[in-house]
Amino acid sequence: MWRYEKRLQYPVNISQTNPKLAQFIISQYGGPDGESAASMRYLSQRYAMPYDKGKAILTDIGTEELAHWEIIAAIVHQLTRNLTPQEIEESGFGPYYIDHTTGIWPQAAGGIPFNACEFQSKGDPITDLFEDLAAEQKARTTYDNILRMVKDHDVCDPIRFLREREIVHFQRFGEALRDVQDHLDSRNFYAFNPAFDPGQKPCGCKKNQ
Amino acid sequence: MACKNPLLQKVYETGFALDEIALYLDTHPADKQAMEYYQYIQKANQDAVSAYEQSYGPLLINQVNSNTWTWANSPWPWEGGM
Ligand SMILES: [Fe+2]
Repeated sequence: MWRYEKRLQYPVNISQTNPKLAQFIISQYGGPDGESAASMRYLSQRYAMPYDKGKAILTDIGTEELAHWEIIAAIVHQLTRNLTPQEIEESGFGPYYIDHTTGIWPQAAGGIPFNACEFQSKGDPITDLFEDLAAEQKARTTYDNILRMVKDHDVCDPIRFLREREIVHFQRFGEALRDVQDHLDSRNFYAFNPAFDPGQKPCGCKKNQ
Repeated sequence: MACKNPLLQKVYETGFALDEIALYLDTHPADKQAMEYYQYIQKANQDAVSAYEQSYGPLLINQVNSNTWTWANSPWPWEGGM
């Protein structure tokens, strides 16, 4: 279960609205490599993780990603406060505004709605951890792309924090992967799925006598 | 980044240190030095949270220490000014 701590993991205090930027940044709320996909990916993958280190890291990074999801929402919310219809029209925020006013809704920068197909939970710890390592890198790339578009320090600052966290998470998932591999056959780490057929190959057929 | 409220700044700093050492300990549970740091920052975070809560109200729903429902008071985290 979870309990809310009534603060952000990192402060967001934006004085200058910027709806155009909000439309870019919302991709980390509901886009393909966004924080919601990250949180659901890790929290869903926990159930197929046989080893304690992996269970702990998936739980705790999955939880931290929820806090990042909230930081992104706070940034988008503060970038779109008190907009006038004229600002909405001139900034290109119109299509989003028509459907959601200035409410927060999970979509990618290009308007595609959040979809669970954006992450995998494959029931195989090696497969899942490789997915997670790639996911952290993709999120970091997205933050790099966002940072090239941002000039306002109030926005840069929390985005830089989030970018740094992707790097730390990549490191921790790498360590979790190493731990999973330590439990496996060192001549063939991918010989079987430790979540489903512990200690044996997945083939059910009998050898010819 | 510094936030304007020094009591809250301490909560952010110690809270972050706690998040970071916890992830490290998840994959290095036998690291004694890391465990000592956890114990040190755990105490610092508890102190920072209670100092903040005394002046500004609860950060956690089980820490409403008054006869009125201060949990619901603004500001909420996404509104800024925190
Ligand atoms: Fe992450």
